[in-house]
Amino acid sequence: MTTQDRLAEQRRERRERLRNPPTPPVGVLVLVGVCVAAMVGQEIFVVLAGDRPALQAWSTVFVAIVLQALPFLGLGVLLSGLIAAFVPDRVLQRVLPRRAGLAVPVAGVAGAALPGCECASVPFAGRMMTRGVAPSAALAFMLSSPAINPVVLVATAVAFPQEPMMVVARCLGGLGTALIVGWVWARFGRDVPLRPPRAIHAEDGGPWETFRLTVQHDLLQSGGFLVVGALFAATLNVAVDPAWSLTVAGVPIVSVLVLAVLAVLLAVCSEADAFVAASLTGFSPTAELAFMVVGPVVDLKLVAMQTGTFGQAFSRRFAPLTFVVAVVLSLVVGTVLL
Amino acid sequence: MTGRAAVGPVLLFVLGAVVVRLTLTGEFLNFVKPGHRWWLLAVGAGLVVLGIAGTVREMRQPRTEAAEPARSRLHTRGPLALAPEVLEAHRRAEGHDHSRVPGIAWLLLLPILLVFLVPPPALGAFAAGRAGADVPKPPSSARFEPLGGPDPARPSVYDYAERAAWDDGRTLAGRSVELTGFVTPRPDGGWYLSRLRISCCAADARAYLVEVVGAPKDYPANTWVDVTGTYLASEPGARVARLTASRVRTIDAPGETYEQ
Repeated sequence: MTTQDRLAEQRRERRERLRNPPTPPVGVLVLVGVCVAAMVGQEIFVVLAGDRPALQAWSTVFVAIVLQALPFLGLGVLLSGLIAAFVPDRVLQRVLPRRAGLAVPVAGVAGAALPGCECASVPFAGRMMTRGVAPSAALAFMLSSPAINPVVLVATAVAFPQEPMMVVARCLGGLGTALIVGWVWARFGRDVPLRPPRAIHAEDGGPWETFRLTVQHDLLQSGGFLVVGALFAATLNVAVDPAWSLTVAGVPIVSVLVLAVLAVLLAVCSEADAFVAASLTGFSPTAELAFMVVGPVVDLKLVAMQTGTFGQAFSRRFAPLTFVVAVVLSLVVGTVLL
Repeated sequence: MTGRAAVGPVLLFVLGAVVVRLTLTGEFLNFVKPGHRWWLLAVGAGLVVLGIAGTVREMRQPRTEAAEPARSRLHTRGPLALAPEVLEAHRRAEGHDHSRVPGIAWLLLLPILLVFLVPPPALGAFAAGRAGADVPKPPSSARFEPLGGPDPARPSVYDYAERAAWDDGRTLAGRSVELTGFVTPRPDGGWYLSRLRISCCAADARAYLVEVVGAPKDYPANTWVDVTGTYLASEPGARVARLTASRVRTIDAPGETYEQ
């Protein structure tokens, strides 16, 4: 072997090493990092950032949004994991009518059976698509479930004790939005690139391993996007002065639009939004209804999670469509019923 | 086990452990309402179990060849893409391609670190001061029953504020009341006794402020106080609540800082 050959050989080895550095035990590093933060984090933080009330408020709201969503996310992921691992494809396809026009209302009404908030329904709808449910039907389920499930309706009744029609209006507005968006999607949404989550199938370990991997993947992905949404929502929650919305409280159509936008920005859980709506001084019932119809179907954390689950091309079209349908329907239902 | 494979389970484990810890120490009350306790414990325990099971499972997987480049470094599309058969072979060789962690999942570390990093985390005078002194509207046509119990009555701060601002203090006249809350400094001097009310979590907090008149002195923001006093009417039409203090004493922050 000539010297040149040996040099070339060495260079190749070095390049190879650079391209494939030994992977550090990342899991261990994560554990150590969190433990260190737990022990000395506060002292370091105080030295670096000082006493900043706005930063503390932001941090509290951010962690609160993640913490309140986590159990519902867990519930949704648990159910979708069970479906992915144990329910055969043909069962799901038999339950839902073959024609999209019929599957949409069936799925929409079935949404009432998942007693969670919006964070549960996004990964669930994703897995239903993976198992071959028509996208329009899965989307109708995703929109209706957080709006019309019994827990949310009871919370609404408690928040508006003297206005039972508010519960009816909310139920109609939420379900109507889900069905209209579902039908529109069935008719016009075929060409939109939609990237449902890939099916996960464990090669060894049987259905429980499939279950574990599905749950792990969905938790990590939806959880990560939930954090993105919570970052935006917490920032706006602290940065936007709530007083600006009050100045337009009396103006008919504008006040409805303003509360609809507020619902998107604040990202309040659908189980709590009725209480927030009820406390908004000076707004008409129709505007309060818009807050409760828009919130569960479009808000910052939902758009982030939908982008993560179905892709950007999807949410660029889906979120505006849902917002417009929800606002128009709130106006119609509110004018007729309230 | 490659270094990266077990990251997913470890992330879930850490998240679960932090949730369980927050719940058991009661710190979770700074973020969500007490009713979430069992939900949080269940999801925290579930995450811990999932994390441990995943770590054990992935450590048992056969060790992949060290020289084998990880799939994430192979081109799957574009001009440098490998043939589908080659990719498939790599996928098989790696054995558990599904356990790759989506990059976005690293963001889950952010709330975990913030819980540890940012000291006293309950919302306080900053949030209350921003909201302003106007008392939020109670549910329409809510009825205010007479305050029960002997003097001093101990209503919630939101209850007192609603009665004072939205019912002209009809049920408060002639009673002595005792309120517990934190101090929010008033822009034009003096201070409010204040409390935040949540329905689900701190993101939906509404602030209730009661202007304390006749207090012996000012206190720093976020001092917890117990104020005994009597109802003081506000100007007609103003949706604010006031109280004439007869006694003020400072106390330790309660475990549940929010009212429901």
